[in-house]
Amino acid sequence: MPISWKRKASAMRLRVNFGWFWTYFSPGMLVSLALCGVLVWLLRLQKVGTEPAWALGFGGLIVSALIARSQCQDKCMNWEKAFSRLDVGWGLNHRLVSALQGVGDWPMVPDAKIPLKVKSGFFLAPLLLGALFLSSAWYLPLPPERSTLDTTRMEPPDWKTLEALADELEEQDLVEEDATQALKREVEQLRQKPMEEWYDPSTLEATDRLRSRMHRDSERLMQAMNHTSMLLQLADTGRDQLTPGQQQAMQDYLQQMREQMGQGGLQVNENLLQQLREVDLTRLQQIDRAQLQQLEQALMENGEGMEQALVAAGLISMDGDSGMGGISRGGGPTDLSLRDFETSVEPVVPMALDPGSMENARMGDLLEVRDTVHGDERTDPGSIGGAVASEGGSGEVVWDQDVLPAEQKVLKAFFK
Amino acid sequence: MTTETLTEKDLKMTSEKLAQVRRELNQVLFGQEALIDQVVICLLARGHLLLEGLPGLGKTELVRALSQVLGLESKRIQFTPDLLPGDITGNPMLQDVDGERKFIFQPGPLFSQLVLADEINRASPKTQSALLEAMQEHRVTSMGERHTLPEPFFVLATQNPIELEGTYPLPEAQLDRFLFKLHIQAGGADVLQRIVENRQLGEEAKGAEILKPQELQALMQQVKRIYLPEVVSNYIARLVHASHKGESEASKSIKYGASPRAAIGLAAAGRARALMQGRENVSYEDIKAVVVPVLQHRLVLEYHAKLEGLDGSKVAEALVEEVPAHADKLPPVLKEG
Repeated sequence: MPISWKRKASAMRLRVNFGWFWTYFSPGMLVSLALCGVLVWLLRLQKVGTEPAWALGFGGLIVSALIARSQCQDKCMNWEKAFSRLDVGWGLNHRLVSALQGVGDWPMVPDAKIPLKVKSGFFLAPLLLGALFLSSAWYLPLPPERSTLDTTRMEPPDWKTLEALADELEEQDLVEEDATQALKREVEQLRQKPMEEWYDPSTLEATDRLRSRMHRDSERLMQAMNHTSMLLQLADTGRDQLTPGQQQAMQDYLQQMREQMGQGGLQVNENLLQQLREVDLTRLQQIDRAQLQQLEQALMENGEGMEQALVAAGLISMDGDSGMGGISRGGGPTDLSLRDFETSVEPVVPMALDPGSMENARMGDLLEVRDTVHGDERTDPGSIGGAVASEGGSGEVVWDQDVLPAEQKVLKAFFK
Repeated sequence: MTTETLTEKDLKMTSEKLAQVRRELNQVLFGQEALIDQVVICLLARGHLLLEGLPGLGKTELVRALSQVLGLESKRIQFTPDLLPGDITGNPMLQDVDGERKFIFQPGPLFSQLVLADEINRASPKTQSALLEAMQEHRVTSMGERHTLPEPFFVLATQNPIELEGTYPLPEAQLDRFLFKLHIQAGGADVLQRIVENRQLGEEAKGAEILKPQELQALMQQVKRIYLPEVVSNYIARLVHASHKGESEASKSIKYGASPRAAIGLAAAGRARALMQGRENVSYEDIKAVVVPVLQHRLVLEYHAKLEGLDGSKVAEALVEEVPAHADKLPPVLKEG
């Protein structure tokens, strides 16, 4: 066989044999590269070295190559088939095949390319896909790292606060145990919700309502005990001066306070309530002074104990504030107004209303009557058919009419 | 299997001689170059030929020209329904020989090198089958005596495709013994003009003798020495195999596929074509060129295929179209070109 023809046939065989090898190899290659890519990605996520992934991918390629090699064995092109394809491709009418068998002479080697073309799409697609797998696994940014702080396991702190309050009230035997147990059950119900829902708005809202209700009931009970203690003190000191009518009024008020202490979410302990039920202020002379003072003292201690428990639970502060209440929302008080002459004003610290001013008030009491009209209502806009007749002067009206004299004085001093 | 191949000189001389034969035949029969090539191939392959065509297209003239150009003795038998086998093979006649009465075999018109069996489908099956032995074994048996036909022996039969009344279609076994079935098509206006200009009514065209019978036999021997590559014989086998039921898409139209005799015929015809073209080996192209004349009369079509207007030639073409020349497929990443 002339060497020139052998080269041509070798080129033909090489292309066809490699084509078959590639056909069988490319699926295995793709699977290996895809697995390698996934493993690289996982190892990157774990922040460990990716060498095992590359080794696995390389191993997969070798195994795929060996399998492809064995699969394409029977499809490999022999010399006769190679020359037959050259014969047909170059229109030689099987002269090459005949010459290979010793029939006739070898023709001249034509100056033409091997009559085979590579389908670049079929050839390149697996390569590009494999490269895409690997480059994606290697270059794609990792997802943002999760916080190492396991927030999902931290329950809202108010639950502990409320449970501590219930324990404190139970320990001091200040209230009926049913109420504290009910509080604990409600907290436990919230805790039983899935961890993912512990900080949901609904859960936080329920916690806030529980806390508000506890705060309200505690204050009501504490207030009732304080009032009752003061009432008993008043009765004790005025034992000899009180008229029967005054004694009856005091007895009525005591009855009201007893009811208040025996109802609601928190009830005073049954022993104390029973002792109070035995007190009849209309027969003040017959009541033992020591017993009355002991009762007064017990009420006062209970009230103080409850106050301490509320302070400890953070529901009220030591200076008598009623707490900031619930969830703080919003950006808080503004530092400065927009008016030019107020730019030097220092930030105003908001002050809670003093609940002491309401100490003697009862529900429905009329506290103050003020004869005033809002400036906007008093100002005649003077508008006819949309035309503005007055530029308004409501600011002055507010200054003159709606600000109290004491406030006017302070403001005038400030702006002077 | 031949071991000795032809030399380049032999091939050149042969192809030149055959080219002369074809040129001479083309001088007699105008506008039928492809047909003449096929006829020459068929004769070189020692095959019998079935010609199908309308009357007046030159079938008889072709046979006569062939006998003149090839130097063969020819006879024409007009087949009719009342023709008896003995009328063509010959009959034993009672004769007085040296005072003794004996049956002496009188050879019929079949004893000729080139027999034109005109309108063969008009004879009864009995008479048609009388040709079987002669065509296959080149001999005739009468009263237990075998009578060998002269060599070379060719049967060129014709049949009229449009007159079906009073005809007896050739049985498959008979058809299988014809190597080629060819259709004679009418030439165009230019061919007709040549015929009008060169022919006189009542005058027969005469061709010069190019070959002698011995030379023709030598050429037929050379055909056997043409090399048939393994890839080509594989192609022939796949083609014939694909004609069988369920072996290809085209075979859905075929009731009975081609016989092994067809495969042998394809190889022989391919060799003859290669020799005619001056080549020492057969190629795919040689086989493709002779598939239709070799297979078209051997394929028994399904009834639905006939209803769809298909015939043997169209199904044979479909087979060529469907069966790839190369036995091995190319991988998907490669294409020819």
